[in-house]
Amino acid sequence: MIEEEHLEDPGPVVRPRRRWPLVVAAVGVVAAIAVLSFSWLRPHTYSGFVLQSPTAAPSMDGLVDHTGVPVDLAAYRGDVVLVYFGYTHCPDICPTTLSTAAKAIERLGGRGDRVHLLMVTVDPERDTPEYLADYVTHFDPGFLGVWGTPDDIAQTAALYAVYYQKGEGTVETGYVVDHTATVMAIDPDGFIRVLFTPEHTADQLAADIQELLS
Amino acid sequence: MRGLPISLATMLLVSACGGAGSGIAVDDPWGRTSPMNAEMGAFYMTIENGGDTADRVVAGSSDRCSMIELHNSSMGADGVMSMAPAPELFVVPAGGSLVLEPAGLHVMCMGLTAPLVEGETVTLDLEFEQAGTVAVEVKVEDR
Repeated sequence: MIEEEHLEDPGPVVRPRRRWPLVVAAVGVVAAIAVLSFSWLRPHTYSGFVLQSPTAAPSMDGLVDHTGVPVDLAAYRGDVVLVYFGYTHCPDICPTTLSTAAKAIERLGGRGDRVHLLMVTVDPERDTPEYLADYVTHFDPGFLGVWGTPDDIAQTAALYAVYYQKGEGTVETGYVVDHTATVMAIDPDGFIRVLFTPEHTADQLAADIQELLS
Repeated sequence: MRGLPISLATMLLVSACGGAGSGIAVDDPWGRTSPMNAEMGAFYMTIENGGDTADRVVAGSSDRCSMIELHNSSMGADGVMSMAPAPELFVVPAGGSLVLEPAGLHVMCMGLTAPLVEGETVTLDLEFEQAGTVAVEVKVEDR
């Protein structure tokens, strides 16, 4: 008889009114995780192409910026450098690319001071340092044009895996130069990390550069 | 059938800009400001053809440019950009449109007589095979 009572004993029971704090706490934790996962816990997704194995940015031996100073990438450690190979006789792609980069830097506000753009000319025969200076500073007074002898330019371009080739153009345009039109972003440690193409927008560049700066 | 209201609207626009009964309308023509020494500029726009025959741009002229050519920038393998004259691409299908935009088709202005300045308007005459001459007012602005 007593055994039957034990079998019917339902065992310890947690009374309903003690469950609420646990439920609220559980919901609170889940909500916190959800909120955090949408912000700083989630890693930044780059819009640009991220290099699988970041390479140390090759030095630009023999090249000078448009102020006459030899280019020394080590001097930019701690900042982001955007490298673009272009030329001033290019009326569509280069203005578009430099304009997008200028807008991206503008969007970064004060942080834009830590971003430097170098446009290396793939047309050293027509582009003098003075020509480059006038051209690049039109888009942003901080931009630097980079010049060198055709041999030095060729060597640097090869190190950066940039292709360029004089095309025909017309008598009026003079020759055009086909060129790899990517903007390469070098991070504060001196490694090429992300590539941008003419299809990327200023907002995308700004977000990616901000991530590299942090 | 569906294109009819669109072409009627386009025709109303055209009477203000194109050749009589041409069916061609040019929307949002613009170009960037130029660096001081730049000899060349690029003009972008959307060309709409509300007519029932395809048309094409055959030439352009402007007091501001010594010479005008029709160009296309295109990306080949490995991100290599090329730019070349491509007049054959400047066809506007009947009832359709042709977009000239950065990194793509553009009207190339060569031998700029003066740098393009923010806020100004440059008159560009586009010559169409069917529609004849269409005057376009290009707004210079940095976008």
